[in-house]
Amino acid sequence: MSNQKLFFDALTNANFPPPDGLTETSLLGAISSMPLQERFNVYRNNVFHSLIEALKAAFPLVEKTVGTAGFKILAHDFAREHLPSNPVLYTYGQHLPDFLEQYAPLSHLGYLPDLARLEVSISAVCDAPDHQTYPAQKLAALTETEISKLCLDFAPCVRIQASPWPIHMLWAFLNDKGDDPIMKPQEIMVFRHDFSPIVRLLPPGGFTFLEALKAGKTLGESMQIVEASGTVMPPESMQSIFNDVMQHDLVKSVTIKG
Amino acid sequence: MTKSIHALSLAGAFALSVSTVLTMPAEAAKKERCYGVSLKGQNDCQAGPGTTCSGSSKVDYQGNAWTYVDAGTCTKIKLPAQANGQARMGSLKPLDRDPA
Repeated sequence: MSNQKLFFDALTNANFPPPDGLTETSLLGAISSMPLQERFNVYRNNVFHSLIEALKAAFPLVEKTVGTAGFKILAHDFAREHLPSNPVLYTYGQHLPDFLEQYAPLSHLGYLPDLARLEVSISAVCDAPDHQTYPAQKLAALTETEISKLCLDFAPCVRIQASPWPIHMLWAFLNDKGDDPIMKPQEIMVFRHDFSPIVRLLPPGGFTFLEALKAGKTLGESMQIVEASGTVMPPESMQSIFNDVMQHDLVKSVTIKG
Repeated sequence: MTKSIHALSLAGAFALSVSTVLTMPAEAAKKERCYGVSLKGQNDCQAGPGTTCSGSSKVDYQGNAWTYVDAGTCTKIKLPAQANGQARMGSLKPLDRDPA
């Protein structure tokens, strides 16, 4: 067995002995007279403590839902299975939503995976690269036909999510901004304006519409896809989406499909 | 017939949003990254608070550490002169002075 494998096993499982090669004169041994096993336990705990702290920072609403003690257990269970694959800790925890889908101790909180997905989106839009703003003046003179053939290239700081749970109400409730959630499916758009994440409730059909636009469909095609899905989107609904897109500079560039 | 009505409302909604944003006042609260002005351990970071580079600057006014300030104010911030007597200025680009 390689040294790396021995080290990894000892790092992730307290039942494994400290790896060979750690001696009294090695880095871990130089500091105190504590037995090697105990010193290695301290090292292991520090590694997991740092990972749990990183998850706490990324998933404050999940933590608020399950409580500090519960979150610590969850985070520890997750970290043991999913050690970071990248030294950049702000991307750590991307797999927590899928992990929660399979996590029996919290299976009674069915909405928890989607709440975690929302928090992954919030982190992602906060860390998304800046983009060049598309000047709205250029869109002012378009004809009706040109508008229906328009393709919007969205900025990297825009994410959408459709949930069978009242995800926006949950988000508002957990941020002390709303009443008790009532059961209904909701769709949201998460984006960044300057340096703040914004979570917006989408009108019915909004997710399908934006999903089509993000896939490169024109405005006209996207609207037809919404209609084909059996949803009627009134002009006010479309306008509320366009308002966010224009006011918060969520488009990098536009093209008119010939 | 229905189709053209829908197309019209789509175009109308889009045009209205465009014209609304064009008549809005320019935003006052834009921010810019200002290098060489943060006190030790108080710099901001692209990845945001809670990550490893925020608050990691080692010396006052470290040249490659930045802080968000209101747009247009970075190069006007008053800072004490350097040890060699040279004036210290904030910069929109990373600086070599005051290394970590």
